[in-house]
Amino acid sequence: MDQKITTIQLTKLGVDTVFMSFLEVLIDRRIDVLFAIQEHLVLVFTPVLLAAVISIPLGILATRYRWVEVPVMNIANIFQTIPSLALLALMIPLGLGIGQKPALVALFLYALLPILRNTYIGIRNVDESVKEAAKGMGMTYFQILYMVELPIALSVIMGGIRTATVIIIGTATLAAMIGGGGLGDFIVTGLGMVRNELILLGAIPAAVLALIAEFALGRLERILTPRGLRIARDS
Amino acid sequence: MLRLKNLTKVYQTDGEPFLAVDDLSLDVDQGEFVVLIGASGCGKTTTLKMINHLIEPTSGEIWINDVPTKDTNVVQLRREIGYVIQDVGLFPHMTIAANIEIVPKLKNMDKHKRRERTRELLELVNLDPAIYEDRYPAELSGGQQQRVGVLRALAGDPDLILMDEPFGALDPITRDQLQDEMKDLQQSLAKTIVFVTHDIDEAIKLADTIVLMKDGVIVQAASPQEMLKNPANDYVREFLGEERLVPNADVTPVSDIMLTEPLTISQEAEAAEVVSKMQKRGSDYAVIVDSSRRFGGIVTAHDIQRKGVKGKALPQVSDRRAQAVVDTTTIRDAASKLANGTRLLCVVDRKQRPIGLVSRTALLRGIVDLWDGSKNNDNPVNETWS
Ligand SMILES: Nc1ncnc2c1ncn2[C@@H]1O[C@H](COP(=O)(O)OP(=O)(O)OP(=O)(O)O)[C@@H](O)[C@H]1O
Ligand SMILES: [Mg+2]
Repeated sequence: MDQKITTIQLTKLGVDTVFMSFLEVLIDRRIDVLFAIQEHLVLVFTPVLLAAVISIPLGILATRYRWVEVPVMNIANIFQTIPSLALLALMIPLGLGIGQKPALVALFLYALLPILRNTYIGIRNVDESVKEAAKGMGMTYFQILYMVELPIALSVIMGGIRTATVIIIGTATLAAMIGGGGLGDFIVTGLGMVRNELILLGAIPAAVLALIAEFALGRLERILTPRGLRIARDS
Repeated sequence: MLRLKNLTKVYQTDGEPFLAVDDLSLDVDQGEFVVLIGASGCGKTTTLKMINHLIEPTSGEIWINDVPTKDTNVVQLRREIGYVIQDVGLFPHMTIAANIEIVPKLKNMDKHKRRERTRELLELVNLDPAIYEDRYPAELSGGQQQRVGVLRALAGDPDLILMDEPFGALDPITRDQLQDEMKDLQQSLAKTIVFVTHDIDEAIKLADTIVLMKDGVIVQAASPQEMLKNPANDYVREFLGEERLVPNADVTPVSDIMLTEPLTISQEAEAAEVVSKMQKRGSDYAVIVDSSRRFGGIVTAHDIQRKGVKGKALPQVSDRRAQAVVDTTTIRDAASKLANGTRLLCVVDRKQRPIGLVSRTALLRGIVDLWDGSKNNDNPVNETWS
């Protein structure tokens, strides 16, 4: 009985100790943390935005032309399948060296698929009858795209961007392994020095960022969904 | 108005050519309601979609108002042709008003005019604009959605409207309602409509001309009455169904059973002349006509004998229980007249000229013939009636 209580107390004490020292380090190194967060955001948003700019048109083209669809979807699939750490590490033998640049490239490749896939699915899922009606009424190719297909697919595409962002926020913590900076730096250092509070210093802000991104982009997605589609979906 | 000239469509499937529409020619008049019908895969949709170039013909031409459509820009062309499909295809992200206004918007029509027209159109099909214009397609029933689909096709005020099984997915009651509305709309707006259906009853109800297709060719193109009366061959007969082919007193005109070429006499004729003409023809009655050969009554041998005609004008001795009806009167209506005091009907054409007679006996014989399916219009006018 006695022993059990002691263990619990000790464990509790241990947690408290880690938490206390985490707060201590956080206050102590708040400038470093803010800097790391900023670095991390660059590691996330640059690749995601670039991936969106490339993937959305490619995804649309893939719905139009089979000769685009097959290679593009396969290649994006391959990037997504390679374990993230391996993909980051691969940048080194590929001649990109270490640092932020190869990290950005790897994360960009990693962000392609979710956006590409959602764009492709979103546009593909627009009812054939809706497109036929649009064409039959005399809409041009581009009018059908921006008046019908894109508005209907928009929320699905946004869903792809949200997924990519959340994934990359996590994956970007690995960028530190190749000197990419960001919140991963604390984790890597913490692992090396076996200091839990340093690991938490990287992990907690990364987790919080991911949650915020999930929530905020989720809201944005809902706002961008046309009312008529929301009604259709809810009913 | 619309002319299809030797339209042919060959599809390539796995390198194999497939002849879906085979050298099809058809003329459609302004304001005509043409229904394309035929078994699944006979090429109805293909024919329809070639008209607005959603499918390019392999060969042949389409002329609209004496202009070959291949000389016009397809996008412009489609904005001038209404198009309604079975799956409706309303834009789910747009309000009902925005859906209806698509073509006017594409044509850069003034925003206020557009909305005004939308409201008029909604009222035309009994959808209250105040309630429906800001709704979304998902908030409408299937029948309401298809009404909007039809309005969307009307909004650009096209002369020609193409409809591919527009009511195929609706329940029978709603379908019936929409058919009635459609026919009314077409007649009040004088639109030319090419309408595809599987449903022969729908075709009979709506069509001015039914075009029955089989394997990419037209088997028969005729008015519903004509097709029911004279099916071109066994395929048509089978397609129409025996139960519809049995002529029916509700639709068969009295002209089908009348005794043709009635004896006519001028209203100035002498009694002796009338009697001798009647005897010569073996007829017991004669139709009196005026100088323009218009119906002026009927005299019977009986009347002449009994009342005598000396010194009387023929119309004065004419039978008061005789009456003229136009040739499109149905057998049912004729029967109800004959059952309610009228003894003899003179069938007249649009100019009031007599073209036949229907007595009670003739009517009964006609109805019996309808049942037997063996119509025989050449009955001699030789019966006696009392
Ligand atoms: N894109 C295509 N490629 C190859 N064959 C086609 C194509 N579209 C239609 N066909 C074939 O052409 C024929 C006519 O098709 P169509 O769609 O015009 O028929 P339909 O009369 O409208 O039939 P349904 O009543 O079933 O709608 C069918 O045999 C069909 O299989
Ligand atoms: Mg069809």
